[in-house]
Amino acid sequence: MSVDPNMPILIVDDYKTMLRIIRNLLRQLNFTNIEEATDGSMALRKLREKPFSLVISDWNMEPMTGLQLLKEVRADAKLKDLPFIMITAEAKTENVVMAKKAGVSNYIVKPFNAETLKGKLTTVLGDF
Amino acid sequence: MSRDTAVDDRQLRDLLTQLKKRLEKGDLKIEEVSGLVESLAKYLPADAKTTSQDEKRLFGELDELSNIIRKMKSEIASLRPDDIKAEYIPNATDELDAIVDATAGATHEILDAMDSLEEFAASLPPEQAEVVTNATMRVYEACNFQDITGQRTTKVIKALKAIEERVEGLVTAFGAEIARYAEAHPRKAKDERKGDDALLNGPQLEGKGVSQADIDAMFN
Repeated sequence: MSVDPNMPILIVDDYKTMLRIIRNLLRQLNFTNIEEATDGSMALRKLREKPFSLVISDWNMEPMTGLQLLKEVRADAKLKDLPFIMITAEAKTENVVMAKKAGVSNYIVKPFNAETLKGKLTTVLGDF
Repeated sequence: MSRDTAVDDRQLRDLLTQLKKRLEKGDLKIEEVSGLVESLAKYLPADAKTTSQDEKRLFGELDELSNIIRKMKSEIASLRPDDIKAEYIPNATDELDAIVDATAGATHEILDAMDSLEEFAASLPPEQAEVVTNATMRVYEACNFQDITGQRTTKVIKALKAIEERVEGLVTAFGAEIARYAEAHPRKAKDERKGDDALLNGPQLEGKGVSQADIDAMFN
């Protein structure tokens, strides 16, 4: 499967610095079509407005957490198959188990590097 | 006080019943315990010959318990939990907030500089551009630290707030003792350091120290 570097990606984090880091790392991996949301509700709104090919979301956000966002996405008939990667500092086993149960496509623990991000993107989207 | 009368017996029973009920409901405040123990101790017979061994032991225990509680209250008051709540914890949380703000600001500056470098890299020959791009990627990765330290600091601030709530409970419970202790032991100067040592206070919080402009004005 070939990956379109122009595919629309939504990154979600309430920490502007983190959004900037993820955006820059994605850009260095040649992804160019990146949008941002600063919490789960804003992300959900954007996802329902136009099509995205991937969501990369933080977990710990207010008022809607990344896990709640994931559950909303999986419960939505139009969005349920959307690849969803969680990037979070929540590193307890129960968090990963819960996210898997909710249907997360992959899980990255912060701090992470570009190689890890690329590896998970390949697992979820295919080689690029 | 004599407890030879039926009235005293009934009062003692009522007091114990009330105490049992409150203990079961868990609504007995620590500051009331000492008073209750003292109330029970009032039933200590004046004439020791009229009491059984069990009663003597019971009242002896009550007396000892009352003394322990009095001593504990005085020791807690001497720790000045009011200071911890009013000064130390708020100062600590302010300093931690300042750390988060300062590292966030610095991280944005670093990222701005990296953006400029990336733009510059686009104008370089491919081999050189790759070196710059790899270096900027490593900087982006390293900037992860800011999110993690921010989250860790938030956890510490939450822990401090939880301690503050408990200390507030102590201040409420032992307010009278703390006030008595504070009156009997007037506070010395907060900072007893003298000479050059008194000048070492570390970085100041936003708005607390003098600005560079103020300093420059002193030299003009």
